[in-house]
Amino acid sequence: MNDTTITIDGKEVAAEQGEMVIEVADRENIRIPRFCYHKNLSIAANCRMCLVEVEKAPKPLPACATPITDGMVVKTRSPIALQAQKAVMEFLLINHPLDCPVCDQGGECELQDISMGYGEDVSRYNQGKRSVADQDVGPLIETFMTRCIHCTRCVRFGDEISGMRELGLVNRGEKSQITTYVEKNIESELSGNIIDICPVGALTNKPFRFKARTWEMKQHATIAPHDCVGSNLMMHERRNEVMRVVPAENEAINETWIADRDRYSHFALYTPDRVTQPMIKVNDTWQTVDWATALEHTVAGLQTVIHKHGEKAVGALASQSETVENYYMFQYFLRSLGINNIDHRLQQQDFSDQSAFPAYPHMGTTFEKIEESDAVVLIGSHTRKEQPMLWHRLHKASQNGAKMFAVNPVDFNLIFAFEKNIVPESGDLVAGLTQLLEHIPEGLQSATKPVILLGALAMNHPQAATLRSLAQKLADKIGATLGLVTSGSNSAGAWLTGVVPHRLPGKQAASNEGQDAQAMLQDQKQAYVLLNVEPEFDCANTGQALQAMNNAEFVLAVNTFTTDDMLQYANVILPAAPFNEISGHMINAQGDCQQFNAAIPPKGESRPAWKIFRILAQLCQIDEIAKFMTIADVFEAAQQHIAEPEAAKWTADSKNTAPRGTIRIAEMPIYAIDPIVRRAKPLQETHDATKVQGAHINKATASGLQVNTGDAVIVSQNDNEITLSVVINDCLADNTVYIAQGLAEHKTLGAAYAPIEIKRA
Amino acid sequence: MKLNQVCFRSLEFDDPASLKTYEEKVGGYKVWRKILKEKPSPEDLIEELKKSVLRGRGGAGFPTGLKWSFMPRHLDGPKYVVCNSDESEPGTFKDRDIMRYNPHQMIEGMAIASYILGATTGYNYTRGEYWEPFQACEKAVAEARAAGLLGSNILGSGVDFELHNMIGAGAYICGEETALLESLEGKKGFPRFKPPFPANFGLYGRPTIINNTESFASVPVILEKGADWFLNVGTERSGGTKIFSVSGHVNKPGNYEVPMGTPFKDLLELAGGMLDGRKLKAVIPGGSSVPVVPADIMMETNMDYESIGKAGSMLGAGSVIVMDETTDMVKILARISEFYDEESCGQCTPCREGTGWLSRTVHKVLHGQGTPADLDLLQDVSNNMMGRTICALADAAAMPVLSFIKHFRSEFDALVKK
Ligand SMILES: Cc1cc2nc3c(=O)[nH]c(=O)nc-3n(C[C@H](O)[C@H](O)[C@H](O)COP(=O)(O)O)c2cc1C
Ligand code: SF4
Ligand code: SF4
Ligand code: FES
Repeated sequence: MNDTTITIDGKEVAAEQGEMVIEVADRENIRIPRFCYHKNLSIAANCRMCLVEVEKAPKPLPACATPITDGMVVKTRSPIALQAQKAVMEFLLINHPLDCPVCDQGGECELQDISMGYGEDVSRYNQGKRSVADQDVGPLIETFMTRCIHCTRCVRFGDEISGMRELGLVNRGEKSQITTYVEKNIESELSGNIIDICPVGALTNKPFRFKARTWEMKQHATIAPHDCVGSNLMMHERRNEVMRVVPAENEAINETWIADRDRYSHFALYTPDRVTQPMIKVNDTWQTVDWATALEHTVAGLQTVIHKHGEKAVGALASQSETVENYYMFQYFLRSLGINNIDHRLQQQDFSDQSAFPAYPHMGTTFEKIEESDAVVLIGSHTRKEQPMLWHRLHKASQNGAKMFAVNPVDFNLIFAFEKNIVPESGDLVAGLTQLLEHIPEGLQSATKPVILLGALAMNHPQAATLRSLAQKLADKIGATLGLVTSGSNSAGAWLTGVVPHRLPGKQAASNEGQDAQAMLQDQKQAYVLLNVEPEFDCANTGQALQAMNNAEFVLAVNTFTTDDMLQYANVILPAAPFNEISGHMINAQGDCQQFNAAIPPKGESRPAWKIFRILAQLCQIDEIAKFMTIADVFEAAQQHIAEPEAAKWTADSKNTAPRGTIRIAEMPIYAIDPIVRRAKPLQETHDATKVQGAHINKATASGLQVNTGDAVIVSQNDNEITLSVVINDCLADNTVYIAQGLAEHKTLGAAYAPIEIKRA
Repeated sequence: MKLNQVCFRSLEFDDPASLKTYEEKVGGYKVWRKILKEKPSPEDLIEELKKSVLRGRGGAGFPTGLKWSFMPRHLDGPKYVVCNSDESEPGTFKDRDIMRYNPHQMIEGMAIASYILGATTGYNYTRGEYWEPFQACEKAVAEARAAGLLGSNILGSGVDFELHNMIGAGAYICGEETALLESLEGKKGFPRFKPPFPANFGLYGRPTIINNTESFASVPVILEKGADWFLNVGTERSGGTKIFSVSGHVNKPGNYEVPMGTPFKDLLELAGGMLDGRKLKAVIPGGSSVPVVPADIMMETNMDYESIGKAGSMLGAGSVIVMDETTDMVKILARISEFYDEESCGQCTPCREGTGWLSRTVHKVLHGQGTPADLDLLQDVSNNMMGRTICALADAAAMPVLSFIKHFRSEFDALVKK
């Protein structure tokens, strides 16, 4: 470390062998202009903007590609360096349209910024400028290719980060063009990052474009609420309206990237079904009322049910992406009323080993360490779509030579190649994992730093407990770290604060154990309390959940949005402010408890959910509620339970039997994962959103049914039939039908890994 | 003056490209057979090459023995030998004739290189337009393979060497060694940033030796006749012979293999003298990318690296473009600039933007629409391109502009409006 010294602009600085001049300069805050260099991409050294003078070198050298040597003397602003930089700037500008006034990048353009420092006022170029035809690359990115300066950052991003070569440089010389080759959409779930790394306005944010200038917006740091990575975001707001989202750098979590889901989900925030006023249903009609009326109505409704049917007749479900504070007050309020049926594990089906859970489920390793592992086993994890930034680390591991293995219900395209990828028939993951355990491949056996991850599709499997104990056996045999990758952004927080029926905050066993998320829907309750849950989309068995809601006497929804069904089954809807309008904490898969503040005030009459539950508790005359005056008070109460990740030991066996016959495979698709994402229009227009529609079956199943792609089939679960269009997809195993969860058309169907009937329409 | 002593040794015989001629008449594959039998130390062979002062014939003139000594020979895993037969520099056509008339000597040179470097696979990359030379190489490789001179466990020696010919798709830039390697790997021919150099990070990221066809074809003769013999044929710092591709206003354009240091005027005489007895105006002595030299200087210059350097130009690939008094120098420059504009790969800003700018500006001047400021601009843009890019194509585009304006300023001045 720091074994070398070099001199930059007269300043002696420490450097490490192998570093490039630009890295050292950046660390010392000596700004060398650059376009092609990006610290998280390979070095191309093609823009030549970073030319600097190096003593004893006969000509200026590119700082981004010149490794340091001991005693090197670098001058970044000497006459020679400046002349070289200005010359490159002149070359860059001769064919650039200089249309800054109508360019979306204006004000945050690296070319504009650097040309202010290095460009001339009058161009010596008086010939025709190049113009390049634009391409339609889909709903998220707008191209204006005439502005491209050919830095190839976007190309390298595709090669190295998203793993999809979606853009390339065709033709030669002045005719060089960045294109998708044939006109096609850019489909990577990380695609939006090329907007950020494009130094000019060639690639811009399509749904945001022309809406605001950078200098009109204020930025606020926040955390992405859609998965357990907890990517750091910057939210840009103008006059209290969110305009766009970009990544905030955090090398330990999301580096300089974010998933498209995190970038575009904010477009849901102002949809017409957003609730911004308390609403109560009186004689089957909805009324918008003030808070006092609504709260009174709520307390009366709940107390009536409790009075008539007892506390056991109430079930409470929270989303998997609430803040620690929201969770804490949610369960505090409910338990104060004696309600113990509390859960957030909406899609889970097997709860048999819940007492063996550690204080909270976690990944068992860190994002950075995953890159260094030499073998990875994914069990029931469509990582690329569930946690795109976690997938990115796995991708890096595989690029570093790690061997990849999987047991999955579908042969998902995870871009990297698998040494072994087991896709068992009938979604029988236990059989698949047993097979792996009984014949451990050489590359796994000999690994020195193996990692095993259980994803949502394993956690929500009816034999999840058995999968965990099999994974444990595998981990013990090969010396692997074993971790769980949970759904939602703060399942860890939910566990720690006791948003589970069997535990109080801080892993304390509940003396009165309540029913889990499935039991409280199966066993019809008279009242339900929902916190940002849309049961007909979010629960494991959506058909059953919807029925339970419809049959309940009283349903309280503390939600950001309404759904058509909710307007039928709910009695009170209280407007909960979404993540960008509240402050709080969320705990990610590696155990970072990240704090964030509201970017803008709650819209209309919306309030943070923790405040709503606090006031409800107050109205119910719960004595101790006075101690929770501020959010800090709530966090303090919760914080004492936030523990370091604790190792688990999985030994239990599931009571459920293996799925047999024709089985429905289902996942919460990337753009249906939560209420916010489901409403984000740009995301709904992507290929990822549309391709999960329909009933997916493999060729063998299709020929058995004598159907072809596009034909109608009737599928039924829960005694409900729906008609879907067939998609032949050979990523599916025999005896499986993939029908996504979280889609409105599929809501009357039942659970994943449950039998399904399918026949020709 | 003795002609054709090294690379064109086979020319005096019938059917010069055949294995039969090469083995029986020329005495070819003698060195290869001897190496296979005696397994001499690679270090000694490299020393011999160093002593011969063989300099790379592809343009840059880097000493071949020295280059080979940099290669991490003892590294395990695949290593490669690559022959650069892309020959696309305007004015150059010597490798074409080595491949057509003496391909076995190139193959033997590559085989020897593979032994020295511990490589077992070689590629010969020919330019896209060289279908006939490519076919000649294909035939020669097949013959050599059938005779057991290539393949695995060659002649029972335990030495393996397999050679493949590859044909490009017609891009000048694929002659630049790292662009060539990219192209061989099936990618677009973009030069790589160096370092690392191919010796350490070459084809598929493995140690690779890449040399010009003429360089490889010289190796068997050096090792057969000795470094001293080779050195003595040429000059002290430019060993051996060189094939000069003479083109332009001469009576007998063609390839002439002469000793290094041959006076230009003798070479001109060999090429039949000036066409129609006209007066010499200027010569581009090393291919279109090197500076032009006016007649009077050229007539005093010998054909070797040092002498041509002193004359203000470069020997390059030995492509001698002869221009007589009727030549319109602005028109020639316009044609040359257009070539580099067309062939720039477009990665580096100065080259991508500069080559087009130069070409359009020279054309503007040619068509009488230029101004004196355009001439300054041309020189400025050229200077801003030189030495600022990933490969030397930008320099290749800039040097003609600078030298043409320097030496023939009056012709440019006459065209620009005052
Ligand atoms: C733009 C450009 C084009 C080149 N074209 C050729 C070529 O056609 N043939 C060749 O042998 N070398 C060519 N070179 C030189 C090669 O990069 C390299 O120096 C050569 O193959 C090394 O072989 P040598 O040492 O035997 O000359 C070119 C270089 C540049 C920069
Ligand atoms: S589109 Fe943008 S990122 Fe891509 S090469 Fe052009 S300027 Fe660079
Ligand atoms: S100098 Fe020109 S040809 Fe060479 S790499 Fe750069 S752009 Fe390509
Ligand atoms: S930043 Fe160094 S060459 Fe582009």
